[in-house]
Amino acid sequence: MDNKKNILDFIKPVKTNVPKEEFFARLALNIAKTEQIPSNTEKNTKVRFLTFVYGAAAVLVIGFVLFQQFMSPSEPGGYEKYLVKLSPNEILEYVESNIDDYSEDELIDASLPITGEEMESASFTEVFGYIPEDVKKETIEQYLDEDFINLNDFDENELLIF
Amino acid sequence: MTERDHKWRDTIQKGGGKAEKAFQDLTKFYGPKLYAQVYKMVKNDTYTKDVLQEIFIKIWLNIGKFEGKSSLYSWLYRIAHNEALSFLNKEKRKSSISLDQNIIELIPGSKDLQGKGTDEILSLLHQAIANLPEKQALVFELKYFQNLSYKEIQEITNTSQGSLKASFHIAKEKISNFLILKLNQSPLV
Repeated sequence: MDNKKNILDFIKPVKTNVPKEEFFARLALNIAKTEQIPSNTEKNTKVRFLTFVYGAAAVLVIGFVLFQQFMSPSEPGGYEKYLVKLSPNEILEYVESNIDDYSEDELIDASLPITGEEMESASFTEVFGYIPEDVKKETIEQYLDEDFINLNDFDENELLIF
Repeated sequence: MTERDHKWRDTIQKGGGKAEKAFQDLTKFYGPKLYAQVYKMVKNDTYTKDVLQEIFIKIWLNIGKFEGKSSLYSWLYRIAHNEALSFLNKEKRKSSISLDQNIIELIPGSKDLQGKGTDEILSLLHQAIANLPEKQALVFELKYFQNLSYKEIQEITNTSQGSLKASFHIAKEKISNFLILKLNQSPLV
């Protein structure tokens, strides 16, 4: 008999005691009364914060390269002469894969040239220009939404890995 | 997505008093199904209600952005599953959860199940379901655990009964094979 029957025929689910309809009605009402559906502004703010982190890393490296060029404009020597030959994209690729090597303080210091006003007015692509072109803002937002990733759930250090 | 789900989503999206009423209707309709789904994982009424609250907050805040490419229930199912898992991960660090009510009963007669406890079998069932594609997992949940008819599942998922039967059959086969494989490995993990 055992061989003919499916093993699940010997496992009987017990009916769950579900709360009454009033519980669900009250739950919905409480949520609707207390939870404000967020406007797009809040979402944009979260994306801007990510922008800020990437922007800070980019400024750090570009600033460093420009500084090196400024210090030795005529005949760069040592590793500087190789560094100045690199394109911004190559540098930014390096930053992306090595962002963990930078401390939080370094990133914050490097970000100082970007003012809040500049962040507000800068377009996504201006700051995110080094992200592969096929990754669009909507794709990132959709990814965050679909996977219920709330940026508020992360602390500052965790966000820096983005 | 069914016409009813469309209407609920659109009304909630618009806001106002009608949105609250639509959300209430949605919660009354899907709440019991999600409760049963979460309870099976969390195994405690108080905790299930806590998780359920988080789930419905997410639904309320995000339903306007749900595009309706899949059925509303599969979206809700995914949210519920992720919330329950997230709760269990957090709770694991604190304490063990006390069981309110048995989720399954074992019927004598299977040599594979001989000497096994319900907790062990339930844990294996969860593992087996977690390995299924979402559609099969969802149909299995509704058919096997919640004992809904194919007609009722069709109304929820907007999928033909033939397709539902096929999904359930495949899910059942996969889960059975998984259980037999695991139960015949010793010791049981």
